[in-house]
Amino acid sequence: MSVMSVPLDTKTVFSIDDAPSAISQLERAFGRGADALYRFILVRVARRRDVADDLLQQTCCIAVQQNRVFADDDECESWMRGIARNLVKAHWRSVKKHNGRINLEDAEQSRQLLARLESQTWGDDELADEESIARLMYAITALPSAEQRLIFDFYFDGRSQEDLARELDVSSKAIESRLYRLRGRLRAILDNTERTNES
Amino acid sequence: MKPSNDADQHFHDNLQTIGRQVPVPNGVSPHVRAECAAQLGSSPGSARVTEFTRNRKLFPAIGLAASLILTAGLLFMWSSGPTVQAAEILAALNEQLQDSRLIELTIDSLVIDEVSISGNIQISDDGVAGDINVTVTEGGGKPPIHVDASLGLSADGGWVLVRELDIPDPQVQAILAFLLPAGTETLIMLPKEMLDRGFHHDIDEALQALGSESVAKVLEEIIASASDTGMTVTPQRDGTLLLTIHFDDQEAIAAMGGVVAQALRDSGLGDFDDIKSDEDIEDIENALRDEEDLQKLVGGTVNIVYDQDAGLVRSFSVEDIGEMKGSVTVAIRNGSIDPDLLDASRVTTASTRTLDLAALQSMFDGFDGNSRAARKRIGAGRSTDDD
Repeated sequence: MSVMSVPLDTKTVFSIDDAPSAISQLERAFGRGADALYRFILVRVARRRDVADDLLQQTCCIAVQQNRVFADDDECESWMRGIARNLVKAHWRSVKKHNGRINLEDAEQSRQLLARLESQTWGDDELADEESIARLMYAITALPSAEQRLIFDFYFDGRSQEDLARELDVSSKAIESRLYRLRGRLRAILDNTERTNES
Repeated sequence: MKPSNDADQHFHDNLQTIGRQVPVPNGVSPHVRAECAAQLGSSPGSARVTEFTRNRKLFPAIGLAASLILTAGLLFMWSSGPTVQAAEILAALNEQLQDSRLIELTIDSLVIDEVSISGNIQISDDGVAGDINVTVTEGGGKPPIHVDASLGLSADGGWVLVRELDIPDPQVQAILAFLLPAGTETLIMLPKEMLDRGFHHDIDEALQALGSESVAKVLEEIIASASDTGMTVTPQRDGTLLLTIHFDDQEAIAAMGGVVAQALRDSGLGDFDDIKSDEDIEDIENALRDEEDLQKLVGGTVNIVYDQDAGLVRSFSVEDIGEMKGSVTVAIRNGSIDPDLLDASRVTTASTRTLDLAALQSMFDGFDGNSRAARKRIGAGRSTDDD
């Protein structure tokens, strides 16, 4: 339901007459991964929500225009992230000021962060280091939506393994294993050994 | 390479430490999600694709128009309009809002398309509180959706008192039945964890998103140029100035856009450094003349109460703009929300329920096609009246 429908900054540019399968796949991919896709963008635009809102909507526009069909929803989600990634890059090219932007693609800095995460107990000083937190968020949001959600649910929202196991209808042990593997993937992203949407 | 157990344990522990201290980045807001879903989910044969024009030069003037409308429309709670421009043009109000920290929206019989809204909402960094009454008439002989509610949200917790909720859709009814006893006024207590993490941050962000520099310079320029834009400036008995802007035609809007653009350029606000020359301003005016969507503003009126001595806007009101009938007044004040408005204990009602976040998530998952499972999960929600 659209409560305010005053698209002052929009123009209807064309109509699609025959694209049911692509659109329903996009809908599904967006339905399950909207938050993850949004966070993917948000973290990469220095948390400017207005920009992230805009880029997410542009991502959807482009996705509909492309009218592609994918083997599965994972592939569709990954493709939408690719669009978003390109829009983020275009955004940074278009703005003159890069206030708040951290070069998150600096591989050496990411490796150093990983070393600190693996070798010391973090306290207030580390938590106050916005760049490190941003770099970690960059890695987390590079994960596909389901994995990203598991990390946020467990580590950030404090949900128990048992709770998550019930929700996902798996054993607690399976959740523990998934988290272990996810830490491995985060490690690989920070260590720049895993190809991501940024690569 | 497989990490050592110690390294993985450190990594795990540190992630937990970080997770306890750092809020999860915001997910997509409901109105942006709805817009995206509308783009992706339009029915075959009638799918309309929207392209966002990101012309920075157009932004200030369109932004002003958008901001007035969006401010009118429960700025960050209900709108699905162009919040980007709204937030950025309201940037000029930032200093004032940061000092005042309390805005009050009074909505009087506001009708936008099929939606009718009345209410009063206060927003400050303490929280959000107020009353709201929304009716959505979908047409085609369908019965209207109606919501009559009060709410109080703060970092200490939150509640929503649903006095009336009429939703004709049987699927939605079935799902909501687990949260709201039919026909009963219900107080829904929101769990603290839903609001404490990042709540202040969100409110702060919402208020700070409104700006970065002083409104005074811009308004003074507008006042000085009033004769060019058909605005009237009327001194009031209390010493304030009443600026009345009536959008007689699109030319008036274009002229005002030009004046605003000039004011923004001259103010030296960093966000508007794309506007450099007189030609840039002319481009903006021409674009506004050609912008079909701005036709919606024609016939509307905006009143701004400006305290020139204090250099503060006291309130805006917006009337009958485009498809929006009725009026909205936005008052900007010092102080904070009346604590009574946030206090759930002042609410007496027959039925109280505590929202279960997992159940809520299930409820929305249920819309994806597995409503039976969702309803089963929602059954896990607690209700004090059932106890």
